[in-house]
Amino acid sequence: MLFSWNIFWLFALVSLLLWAAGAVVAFLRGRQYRRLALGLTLAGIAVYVAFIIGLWTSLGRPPLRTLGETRLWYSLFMMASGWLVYRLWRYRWILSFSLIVAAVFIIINLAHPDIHDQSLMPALQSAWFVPHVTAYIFSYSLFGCSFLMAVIGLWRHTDAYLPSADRLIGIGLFFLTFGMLSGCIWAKQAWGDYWTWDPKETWAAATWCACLLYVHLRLKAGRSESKGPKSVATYTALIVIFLLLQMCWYGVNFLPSATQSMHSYTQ
Amino acid sequence: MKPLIYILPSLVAGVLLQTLFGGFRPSVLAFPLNAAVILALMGTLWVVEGEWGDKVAVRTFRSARMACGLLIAIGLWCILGGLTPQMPLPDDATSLHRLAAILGLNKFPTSYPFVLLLLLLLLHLSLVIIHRLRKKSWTHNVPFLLLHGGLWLALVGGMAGSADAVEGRIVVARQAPIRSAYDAYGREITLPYTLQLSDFHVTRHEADQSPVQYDATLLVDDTPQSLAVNSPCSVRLFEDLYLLNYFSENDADQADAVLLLMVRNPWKPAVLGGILLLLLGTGWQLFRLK
Repeated sequence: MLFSWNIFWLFALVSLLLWAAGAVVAFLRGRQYRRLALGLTLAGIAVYVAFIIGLWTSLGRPPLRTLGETRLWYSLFMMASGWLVYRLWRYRWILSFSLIVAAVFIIINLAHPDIHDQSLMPALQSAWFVPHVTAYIFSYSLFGCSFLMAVIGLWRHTDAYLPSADRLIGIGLFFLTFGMLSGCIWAKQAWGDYWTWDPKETWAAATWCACLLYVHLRLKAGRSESKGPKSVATYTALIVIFLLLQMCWYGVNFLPSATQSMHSYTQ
Repeated sequence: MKPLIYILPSLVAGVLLQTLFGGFRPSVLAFPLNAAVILALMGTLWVVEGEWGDKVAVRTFRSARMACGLLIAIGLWCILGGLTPQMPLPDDATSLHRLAAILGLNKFPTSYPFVLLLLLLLLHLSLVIIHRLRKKSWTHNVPFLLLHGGLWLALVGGMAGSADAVEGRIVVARQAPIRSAYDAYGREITLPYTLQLSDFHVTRHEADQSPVQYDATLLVDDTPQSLAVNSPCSVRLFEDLYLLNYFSENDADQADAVLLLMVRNPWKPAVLGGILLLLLGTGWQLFRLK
């Protein structure tokens, strides 16, 4: 098998170096540096994608079964989301923060590959599997970026990030909703019910409620920059969304109710 | 703070009902009672919106603040339910666990506080939709109606479906046909058709021989029907069979019997319709965002 976790370190190292170079260059002022930062980050993404495609081909299935494999996609989408935010709104710090989060998950993957076999179990043999999981992971990466904006916004006592956070939440909510609803349709095919309040589904519902709460709060505020307590509330909602999705993603596995979950095959 | 006028009393009432009755039993609202209640509520709300739509109480109930309050309440109840093991209270339960049980958190989907919150959400959505349909041209509100209408439909289908859905497990063998399923309480459900296992097959991965798919062929009233994991068999309108497990005494790839799940839910199209409307509405909003 040409591509395996044994050579992941090489691709990860090259990607991280390119991303780090892009993050540093992003702090330099000037159009040429901005383009260079975008190019370096994109090159790093291309190297990372090459590994994923190679691994996919070698495994004979999409690498989406275990927690380690989903971390692979989270790292990718974290950097892709950071690239997109930098491309659209030019926040010089976003590439650095995206790099830090992506690097954490890459290091965890290097230490714990989490792959024990090469086959997808029958329960995961469904056309909904890939869209359901990738939609969720992409939404997680966008919420990760909005979380970073919320932390910075609270630290700097500025509302300047709210309009950009609105766009990220708007796009993230679409993917979160699609992930959740595609999961409902898949659940009906697999288990006979669209929604069973499985522990994972319960935390997914809580996350969705938090996202909808943010949208309604911003609609009430007129989608404009607000001052004082309202902006604190909306930034706090972004942080709560991020914390809830962490619980939904892997925190639920540490709860006593995890043994009752039908999503436990991802462990 | 005004939405709390509706939410707090509902929560208090829910806790009282939970203490008295120990959890909501959906079967009490089986068809046609659930359909009648829904129609009656919608009719009432249509009149309320038409006659008193400008009053503070009605405006508060359909406001964005009410939506925020409900989302916070429902989200919090989901968090508390998610943190609480969903099982009966053990003998050596801690005081915190006992408190959670009093609130119904160990069976939170059917706890009265949660059911009342969902009912409030349904009423809020109904009023919001009716207001939009009555006051403004609906063509300007398509994504809004898709989103809120989709959630409304899914909620109605889910809540009504919990009352009317029937689930039973069936062990289907090769030797003889069977006509009985058994629910979670061991009660027999007589099926309007017979089932017999005709064939069973395990598809294995070439590299490590681990199972990739399980396929079964059943004789449903002597008519062959196939099913597999993630590919149920529809035997009647609103009634499907799901392959759960298989039993084998000798050859691991040749089952002597299979375990099926029979699910009968007439509200399935409502939930699916709500899901599709939600997907459509969310996508529409995304394009508007661009």
